[in-house]
This record gives sequence, structure tokens and C-alpha cells, in this order.
Amino acid sequence: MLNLKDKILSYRQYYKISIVYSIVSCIIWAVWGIIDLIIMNDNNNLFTNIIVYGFLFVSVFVTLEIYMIASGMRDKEDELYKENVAKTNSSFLWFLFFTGFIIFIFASILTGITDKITIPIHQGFIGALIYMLYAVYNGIALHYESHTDNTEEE
Amino acid sequence: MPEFITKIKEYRAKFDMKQGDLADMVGVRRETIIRLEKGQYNPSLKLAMDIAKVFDTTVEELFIFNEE
Repeated sequence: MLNLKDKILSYRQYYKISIVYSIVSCIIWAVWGIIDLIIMNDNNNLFTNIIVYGFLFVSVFVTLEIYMIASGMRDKEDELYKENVAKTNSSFLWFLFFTGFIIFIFASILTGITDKITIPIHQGFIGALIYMLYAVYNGIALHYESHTDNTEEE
Repeated sequence: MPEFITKIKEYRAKFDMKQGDLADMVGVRRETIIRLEKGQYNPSLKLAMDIAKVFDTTVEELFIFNEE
């Protein structure tokens, strides 16, 4: 039997799990947004509501629970980890600024086209966007962790 | 060139200690000890003191910083 108490995840494993968790959560929220916008507008009855919100609640609860267990099994928080987190935070901020800048430039140049595109702002899509950014954050962290030498002892 | 040279590896050999053992004793992970031994990581004063205490020596004896 797997003894969760004694099982320790290395930071690489933890970040890999985090990326999977973020992507799965992103899909869940996006699917919920699509369902809510398309199906719920046509079939807004109690039964559909229970099915859709039940799906959302159970999937969010299950993924979060798995993620919390993984977080609890992380390796100890040592100095090198803190250094990697500082690098990750700095890189992620640059990513946000750079992406925002690119979007702003394209939106300014292509005003004629972007004016005709309407993006529905739905809580499901906002949730999906947040989880997508979290996946990027964990990807950057994994990149720095991968450069941490863990070769066998000489 | 590394910022500093450490004698951690020598002391580990003297005390017949593995990287993992030392890591557990000072509360860091093995990767941190690997980087320290290669002179690629500048430790906090607390970590340097903890390692020196394990080997019953001084920080000055364990870490030699490049003056340039």
C-alpha cells in the first residue's frame, strides 16, 4: 500500500504535477464556460443546472484535492528552492509584461479587425486564463529546476 | 571561475558522509550540497555555520572566497 506520509516528491515531480493540474483545471473552466454560454442559454432548467454545476463542483474539488496532496508531499523548502522561486517570479513578471505589451501593440495596429471581434467575458474563461497562466508559471519553475544538478554522488 | 572554493567534499570524505546525509543534517536538499561543492551557490551565513558545526570546524576553514 502506498504510504503517502513518507512519500516525498522532488521539486521536478511537483512542478510536473502542477503543470498537469493547471492544464486540466484550465480545460474544466473553459468547458464550463462553453457549456454555460451555449447549452444553458437554451435549456435553463433545474435538471441541467444540477448536471452542469455538479460537474463543475466535483471536477474542481477532485483536481484541487489531488493537488493539495501533492503539495503536502513536496521536498523540504531549502535555500536553493527559494533562489529558484525568485528567478521564476522574475521571469514570470517579464512574461506577463511582454505578453501584455504584444497584445496591446497588435490590438492597436489591428483596431479595424479587433473592433469586430467580440470575446465573451465569462467567469469560466477568466478561470481558464488564470489556470493557463499558472501552467506557464510552473513551466518556468520546472525549467529552472531542470538546471539544478542532481547527479549521482561521485 | 567559482566565486569561492569549499572544502566540504574533503570534510565529507573525512567524516565518511554522503551528500544526502549532510543535506539532512543541515535541513537542505542534496542538490544544494552539490552546487555548494561545485562553488556555484553562495550559501546563507546560517547554512555555512550549520555545515561548519557538523564538521566541527570554522566557516573560514570551509569556505575560501576569491579576493578578486
